Amino acid sequence: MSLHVLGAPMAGLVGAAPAADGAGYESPTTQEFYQPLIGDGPFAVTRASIVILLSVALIGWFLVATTRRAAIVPSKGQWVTESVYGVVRNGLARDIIGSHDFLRFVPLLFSLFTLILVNNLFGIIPPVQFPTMSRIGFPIALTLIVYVTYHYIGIRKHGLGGYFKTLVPPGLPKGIVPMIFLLELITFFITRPLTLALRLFGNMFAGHLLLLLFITGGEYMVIHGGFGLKIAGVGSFAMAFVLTIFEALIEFLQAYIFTLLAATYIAGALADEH
Amino acid sequence: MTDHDGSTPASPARDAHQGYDRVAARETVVMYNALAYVLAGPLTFGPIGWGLDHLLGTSFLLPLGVLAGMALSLYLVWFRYGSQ
Repeated sequence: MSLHVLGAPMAGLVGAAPAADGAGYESPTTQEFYQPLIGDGPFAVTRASIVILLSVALIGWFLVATTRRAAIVPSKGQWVTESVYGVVRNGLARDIIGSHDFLRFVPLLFSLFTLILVNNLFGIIPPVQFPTMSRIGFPIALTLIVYVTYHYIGIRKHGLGGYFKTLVPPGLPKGIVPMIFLLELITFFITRPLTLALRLFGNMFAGHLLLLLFITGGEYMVIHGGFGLKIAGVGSFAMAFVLTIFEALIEFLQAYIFTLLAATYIAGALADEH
Repeated sequence: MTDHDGSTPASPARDAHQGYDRVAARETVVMYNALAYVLAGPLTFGPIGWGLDHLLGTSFLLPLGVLAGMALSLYLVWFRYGSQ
């Protein structure tokens, strides 16, 4: 039985059909992440779309409510908003981009950070419990915004040819400059956005799948298992609890890293030639 | 929100803490940028080798391209982040 439970997630990942008799444990599959509520196909309104709309409404309401009557001695809400804003403005934007240019990118970075953070935390906050970024389309959309921004400002600052010239670090041996240029080109235009989107997606996807596995597995073992499995089920719930705390950390960290890297790419595009 | 940066008295403890944050952030960035470079090398020169293999009817240029790309990536990571 326990072998079946251990083997099931792999079968689920490759999309094998669950046990036909309906008696065995059905492990969570990738299907858990596609939950259309209205309609079907590419234009369906899914659970993820509802969650991101909810997050936007919540962030908007919170920011307005906590700053409308801003006071010198801040209320708790205002203190939270100012702390988060302070981290993004000073800790990320100013430190990375530099005091000359950073201010016009603070709105973008602050929106990115709060949106990703709230959507990630929704992964473990009941009754939402769905990380929006575990659907690949959302990280791709956010990455596209960052991608267009840093190339646009880079090209506007250096000109098209000048921008490509800044990609190659100075001081390289002459012979390998063309190869390094090709490498930098692929890095700037393909692997950087690719890793930016996939990192956020993968962390949220894998973390949510892990929680689903331990919680549904624990539930199955406690309800349907014999005495030994019931004890193992309690252990599974304990793991789910520990991993939920761990997830909270990952969710915060991923929001921070996405914003940090976005700021770095902007800083890189603005950097002067050496 | 107003800017209080100039008016706050400098505190050595806070500055040290922020300096630490800055170093940690920089190291995180270097790590992820290095990852992007290391992926880019084989991804660039592997397909070039594969294409040349196809044109010339050979079969050793794809692995050569992957390896050369990897070496070039590591060299670039070292050049950008390791040689200062």
